[in-house]
Amino acid sequence: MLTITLLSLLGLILLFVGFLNNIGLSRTIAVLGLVAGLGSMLFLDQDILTFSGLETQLSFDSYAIKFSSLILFLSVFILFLSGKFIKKDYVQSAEFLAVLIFSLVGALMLTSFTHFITLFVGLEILGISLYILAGTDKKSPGSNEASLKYLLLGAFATGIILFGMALIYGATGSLDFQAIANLGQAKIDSSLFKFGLFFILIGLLFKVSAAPFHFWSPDVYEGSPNVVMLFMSVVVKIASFAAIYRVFGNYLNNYSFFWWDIVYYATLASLVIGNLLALVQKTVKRQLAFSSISQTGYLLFALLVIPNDQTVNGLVFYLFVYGCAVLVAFSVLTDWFGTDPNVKLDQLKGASKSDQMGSFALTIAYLSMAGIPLTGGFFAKLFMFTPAMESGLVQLLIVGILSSVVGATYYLRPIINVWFSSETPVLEKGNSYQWIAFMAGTLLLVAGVFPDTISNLIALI
Amino acid sequence: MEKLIALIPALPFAGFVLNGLGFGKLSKGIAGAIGAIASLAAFIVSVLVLFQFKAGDGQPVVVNLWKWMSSNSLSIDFSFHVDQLTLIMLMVVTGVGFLIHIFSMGYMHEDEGFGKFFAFLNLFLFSMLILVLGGNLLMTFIGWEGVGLCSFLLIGFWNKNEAFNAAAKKAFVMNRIGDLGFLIGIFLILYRFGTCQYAELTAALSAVQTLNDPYLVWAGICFFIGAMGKSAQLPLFTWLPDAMAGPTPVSALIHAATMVTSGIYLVIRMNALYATIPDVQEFILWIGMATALIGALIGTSQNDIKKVLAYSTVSQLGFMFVALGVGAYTAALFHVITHAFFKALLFLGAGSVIHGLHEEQDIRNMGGLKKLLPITYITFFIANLAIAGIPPFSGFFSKDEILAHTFASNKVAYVILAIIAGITAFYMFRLLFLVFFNEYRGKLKAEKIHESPASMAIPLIILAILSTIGGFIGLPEVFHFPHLLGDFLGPVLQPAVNFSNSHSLTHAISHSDEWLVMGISVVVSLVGIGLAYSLYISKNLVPASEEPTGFLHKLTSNKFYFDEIYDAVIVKPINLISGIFAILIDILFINLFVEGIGILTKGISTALKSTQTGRATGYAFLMFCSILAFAVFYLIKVF
Repeated sequence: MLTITLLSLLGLILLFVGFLNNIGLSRTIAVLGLVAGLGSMLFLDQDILTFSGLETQLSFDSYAIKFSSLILFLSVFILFLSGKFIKKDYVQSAEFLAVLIFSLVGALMLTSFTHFITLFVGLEILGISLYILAGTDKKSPGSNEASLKYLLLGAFATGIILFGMALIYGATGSLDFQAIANLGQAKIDSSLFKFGLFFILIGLLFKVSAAPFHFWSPDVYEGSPNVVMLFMSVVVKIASFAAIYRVFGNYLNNYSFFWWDIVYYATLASLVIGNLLALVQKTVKRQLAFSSISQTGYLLFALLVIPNDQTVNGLVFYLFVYGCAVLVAFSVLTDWFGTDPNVKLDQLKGASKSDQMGSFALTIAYLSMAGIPLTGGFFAKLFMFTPAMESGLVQLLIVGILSSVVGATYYLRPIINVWFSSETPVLEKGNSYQWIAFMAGTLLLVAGVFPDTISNLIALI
Repeated sequence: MEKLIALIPALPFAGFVLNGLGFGKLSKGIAGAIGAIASLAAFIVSVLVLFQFKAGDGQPVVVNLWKWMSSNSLSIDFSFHVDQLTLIMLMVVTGVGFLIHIFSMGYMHEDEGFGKFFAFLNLFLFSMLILVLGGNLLMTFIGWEGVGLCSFLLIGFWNKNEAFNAAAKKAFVMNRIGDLGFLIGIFLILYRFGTCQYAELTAALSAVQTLNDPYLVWAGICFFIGAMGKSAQLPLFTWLPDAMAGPTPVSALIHAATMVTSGIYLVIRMNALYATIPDVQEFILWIGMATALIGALIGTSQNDIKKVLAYSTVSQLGFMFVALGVGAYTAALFHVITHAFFKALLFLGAGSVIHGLHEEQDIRNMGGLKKLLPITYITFFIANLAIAGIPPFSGFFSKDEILAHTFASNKVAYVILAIIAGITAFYMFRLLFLVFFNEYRGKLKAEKIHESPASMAIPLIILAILSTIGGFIGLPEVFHFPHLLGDFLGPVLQPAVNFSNSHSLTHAISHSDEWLVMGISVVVSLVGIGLAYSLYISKNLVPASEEPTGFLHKLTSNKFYFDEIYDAVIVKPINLISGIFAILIDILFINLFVEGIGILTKGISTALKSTQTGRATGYAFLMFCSILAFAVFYLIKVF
């Protein structure tokens, strides 16, 4: 509860600091506050601060701390990257930062709930903040459209989850996960419960943008400002995976007989649809959006195997590596094209001529997403595939590997464009975020060469 | 000590990184200094390690840096293994390497790729150090591949010349053939013993008591095939003469002193294996013998100063393998050391001549350089005495030790080897006389011919001193002096000695035989020198520039037609097969099948793309359909 409280206060403070109209100050406070939040998450006992009634509904166990720390760690850099965007005069910087921080409160709740109510509140805090963030580029029709589309379709999913919750409450008389995890046979057999489970699963699959419930995500990603898309594909992805795994991998794993097949087919669909559609995209963001759907497919492997600590650590490793790769990509893009939301793949052509360092980082990021050895992406996929192989999911593995091959073809396209083109690109000559690209790129290489070090670190938290 | 050991390869690597990143930005002086300092530092650290090691208990020091790979039963560390053998190789590699770096600063001074050259040279040094420091077969293999790559890069250093590129490619391909053998050998060893860590492997091999275990015979042959490629033995030797396309310091460092001896290093490293398989040793003996003979014969009729030295290297490497073949590992390593001194000296001397004559390499256009290039002449003369085996120069002792051991174990082999030693003296003095004696035959004016700068002369002098006194580390038994090298190397060779003793495979040499062998080798060398003297000084012959006549002459000057035979038997058929496959696989399979898949995938993608209409109502509808489909499935499955 400590960090959540800290962040909520930070959000409020930021709203007040907004009166000073000093963007630099606001951002500094936000960054410092987040770093403090991360520190408190890692090193302080979360139960120092509790609120009566809530202590049974939120639990910052080691699972929650792993995911929360990752969210906060990556958010710090996203805040830095937002610099260029919030300096636009029509973007309300204070509100932007405050809403971003509030959304993190929701994200942290999604890693730590023990009760349906906290799950739902977390989803809504995160969701509503995101509807706002998606529309912050007020003068862009794309951004407005993204915001509205996200709201409409998000409401659809929220309705489904709420419906599922109602059914489960009706069947069991409880909303506490621990209680629901240990039901008598009679209650499990009730059709109310079975349908409740079904709708919860569908709603959460929507939130992690698994196919075939993914339709919203490419449009929303594409229309949103770059930094918001980065936030969605990194932080929101981590939070929603923390949530879906906490529900189904952890509490409701006893009932895997009911839900396993649905996840299985959603995984297959995500792998195939994500990769195939990424193949024909022309803009960097849309390609990344579809790639994000395929990454969802790989991440869902974790739900299909026997749940244990290793699976959780593999999941965190994957999300860490993927987050770093996307971070590199966006920091390089911001350096090269500013806040332009519609960078085409062709615009990358020949970029290595004016910025070798950035091109190198971008190459590492894409190689990692493609899962090439010596980058973290290779081991991320390996840690997902190995338990699946041990569980005998051979067909799934074959699809997974084949779609990685397809993936490699489209991940290589930006690399080829950057290095092997005679054209001279039009780039903004900024390198204010090169250090982020450099740092995250280094992390990718470290994860690729010393994967054990990183996994040990994750296991330690 | 562990940290020092890890530092040794790290230093040249740092030099490589600095010079590689700074290429084009650093001035030539700085680039050269970085390269030279990196190699000097590696040498100094190696000396420190040597002293610390000598102060210790003589047991091998194993440095485990990190776990490299592991699977169920197999675990391979990224580790270094330092024992007496490693230390000697470290000394040779870093010491000679440093001298050649210094020499290169003068030799390559005019070259536009100066920084690149030093980057490659340092990378080579790094790879070579990994090769000799490697704590297991796989680590050695990394170095093995690394030196192959650097050799390729440096042979083709002047890559604007197509012929040089072809030479680089040839070296690479020939080496790859050998590498395959090495790799299969590693797999065989891993399969049999479950480890490739030298310390464990030596223990495991020491436990083997069967003679010529078929499994180990194959492993031994595979490793030897690797050695054949890297150390230019028959039939994989033709790349080495072509490798002379690289800058001369490269020929001195890589293709004379260090890389080409790594095959010998490998066999000595695996002495516990080879001791148990005398059949393979016999094979090595005769391959080495044939290589030594053919190399020496071809050397008698070459007219390019570097080609003569290249064939001489091939021949001398053959000598070393003969030593390995008769189980004289110390003698082989001894010859590696002295050969590193005098052959590096010969190549650098040749480089100095070429430099002084403005890129002239044909010895028919030389002569009379004695006065014009005095330092080069004297040092070259010393190297000649060493390689020809005149006492007390270094080559005498090492070659004599090989001859003595051969005499003890196989008289026929000894006779042939002694004759080859005579031929060696002949062709080396032929070279010396044609280059430095009589009148100058070239077209340059005398004042344009210049002695080399100090940076080139000093390494020559140092190497000349080493070539003179280097032999004293291994004096024959009859002199009643300790055999320093043999005593030092003893612990490494203990497994082989133990095995040979227990199977009574050792041959003792009596003192009278030793005197006899020494006497014969001096006489044979003098005969060779005398023959060269009478032909090229007394009769003042110069090799004719027209087509050679006479069967043997034709055969040797055309290098026994090895290249032509390989071309007809291997290269052409392979080209034909690849041509057929290009049509079958490329056009029929790739184009129709693989591209077909590509087109199909793209088609599906485009079809799927139409679902992404951008309309929220459409999405809601599609999602509704998805939910409905899943719900139906769920109903059937769960209820």
